[in-house]
Amino acid sequence: MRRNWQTVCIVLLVMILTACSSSAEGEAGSQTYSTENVKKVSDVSGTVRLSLAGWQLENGIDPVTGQETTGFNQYIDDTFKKMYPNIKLEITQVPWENAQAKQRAQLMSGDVDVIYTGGAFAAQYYNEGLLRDLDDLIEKDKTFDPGIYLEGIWNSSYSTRSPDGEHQYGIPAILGKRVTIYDKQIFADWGVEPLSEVPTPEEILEKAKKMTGTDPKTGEQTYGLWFSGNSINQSTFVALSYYFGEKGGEGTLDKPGDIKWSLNTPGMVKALEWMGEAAKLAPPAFVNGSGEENFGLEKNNVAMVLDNSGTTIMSEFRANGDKELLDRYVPVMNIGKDGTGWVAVDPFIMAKKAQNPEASWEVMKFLASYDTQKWAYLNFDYTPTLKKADFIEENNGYVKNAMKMADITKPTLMDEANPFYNSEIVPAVNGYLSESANGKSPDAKALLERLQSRAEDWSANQK
Amino acid sequence: MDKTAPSLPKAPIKLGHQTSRKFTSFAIMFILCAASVTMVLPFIWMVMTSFDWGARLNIPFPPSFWPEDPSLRTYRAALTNVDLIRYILNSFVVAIGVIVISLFSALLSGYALSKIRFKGAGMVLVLALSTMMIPFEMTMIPQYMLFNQIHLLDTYWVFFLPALNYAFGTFLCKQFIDGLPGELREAALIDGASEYGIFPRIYLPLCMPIFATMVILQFLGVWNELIWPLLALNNPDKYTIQLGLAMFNYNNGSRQMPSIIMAATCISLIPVLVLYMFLQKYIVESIATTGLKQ
Repeated sequence: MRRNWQTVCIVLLVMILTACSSSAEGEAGSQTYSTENVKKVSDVSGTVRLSLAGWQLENGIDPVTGQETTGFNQYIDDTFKKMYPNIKLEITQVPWENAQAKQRAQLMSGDVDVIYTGGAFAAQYYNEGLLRDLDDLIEKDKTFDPGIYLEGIWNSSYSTRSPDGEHQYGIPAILGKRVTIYDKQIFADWGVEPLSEVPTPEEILEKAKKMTGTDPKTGEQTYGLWFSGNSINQSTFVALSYYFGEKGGEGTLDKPGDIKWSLNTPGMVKALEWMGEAAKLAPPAFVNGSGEENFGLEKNNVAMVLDNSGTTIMSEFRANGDKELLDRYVPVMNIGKDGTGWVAVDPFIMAKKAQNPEASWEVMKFLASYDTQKWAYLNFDYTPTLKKADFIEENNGYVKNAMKMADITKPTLMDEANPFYNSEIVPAVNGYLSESANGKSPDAKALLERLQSRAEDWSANQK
Repeated sequence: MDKTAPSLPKAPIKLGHQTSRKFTSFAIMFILCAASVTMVLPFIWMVMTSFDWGARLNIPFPPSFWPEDPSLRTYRAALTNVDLIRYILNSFVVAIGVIVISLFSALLSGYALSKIRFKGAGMVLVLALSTMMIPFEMTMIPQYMLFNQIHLLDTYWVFFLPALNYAFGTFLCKQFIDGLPGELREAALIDGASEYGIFPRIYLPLCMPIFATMVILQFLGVWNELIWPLLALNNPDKYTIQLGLAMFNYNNGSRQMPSIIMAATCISLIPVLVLYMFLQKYIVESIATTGLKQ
């Protein structure tokens, strides 16, 4: 009897799995690129070992819209293999969350030629001497036009350019979306004026204070704003430092021993105190990076979210074609000066030990090209790094604002590419936020004094 | 009156004792039930959320045990976006190889250390056990470099070769075989049997409980391993199930797709549950046997 029961269970499980499986191998995804005019463009030959953090290889289903997507493998079969018939790609797909460990091992053991990775990791690999400069390849290649990329990113991103700004080591492929978005309905319920197109931190704080409490229309608790209290890059703090005109110090990351730190300036104190005030207006769970689960949906209770991607809202629109949420959640610029904010850029980079730099360069160029960025946006909502991204929907203000912001922002030492910022400043700011949210009124000036002292010690140890 | 008087005080004492025993038993049952519920609830929540298409971008808040938008699409997305079936099969191949090699090594070494009293047996056991004291994080990079040098990275030998040294298994087997009568071996030797005949014919059948325990432990170890496969494998066609699960994210980690990850996790648990279903008799036996003395 028991054996029968076990057998029945297994048969049922197999049936369910079979029912849910893809109907056929290589099932075509939605066609988001043309295969008609694909021609051979180069005779360069060789094998290129490519490591991709987080890309989807197989054709599949968009988890948001439920529509079919074309995976990387098919896209490459339809395009790259015809354009570069003599280049053989050996692809390693790396989980995004574990990219650093794997890709560092690959770089150190000479097991990879081209990598797509997170911007901060790229900067670290470059500073450790694991990457190759691309200047000679760019200069030699007359078909490559750096002018297609957003100038702000091409000229000044730590993720693609050396810390001294002299060398190019990466090509920008995907942009992180971080804009301020507000819920028009909660503003209306409280009778608060909508946010300006380029809101200042003061405006945001003032309006957030008015909307924290019991919603006069619905009777539900609402919160004035949300930002991440445990962010790994504390992008809100970065944007505030831009607003208050603070750079964190003078110097470059390739000479950390020479950096003259300025972390305890009045502007920095103001930035931190702003965050302490804002912490009291956010849902309590913001200290753990939660509390905005319903933002972008019907039952939202947060008036403004800083550094949001708008993915949930656009996804709902793409899935249902319902414009109601799209109209309700309005994107504005970030809170840095003139709408600037921290910009995340994920690049393609080349290993110092690349076996075939010419073939590797062709691969990088193709994977950061207009066509690939279009395919990546339409299938996986990856934000492009292009000046002319004409494939973005007219009503996708979230992506457009993120791109505008990326074009005007110039990074400072307050960046995750800076090891001291990542390892010392971010945890200290997160700790400060946690204490503020718990009503402990921590001393911002004292904290920044301590950070300044530690930063000076850190620099002294780098000499 | 006089005859009954002495028995009077006994009755309330007996009743009090029984009540106290009942209360203790009830309290123990209550604590055990509460602990069981604490263990089972997250699992049930995971299974229920795995059917919630509405939870594909955000975990519903407040948490709910019933799916808002019940659907099998989460399972379809899990099986379509990442080649989970292939990864499950790969994990099976790795697990079977590791189990065969490690159990072969552990059973033979355990038997030798327990029953064949050779010179330096104690030292061999101590040496084997000392390898357990070094955390994997310490040996991971040298191991990676070693396999890189001998060009075995991106092959399953990176799992099979280290399985030869299954020190915990050796220790388990030695302890278990210590509990089996040595007279069996002596009798067999008198009857002319060799060591190669004694172990498989006499001791191996008696080792089934510990055999099953080690199969389960090794299977779970291989099934749940992430870091070593991540480092050692490059070709996605060779990836194991945990690497497959780690592939699930949306827009470069900006979204985690909770219900789809939970659907994938539920799928990945099926082989473990099936294995447990078939081996549970031996596992219970092994737990019971560990309490017995020769």
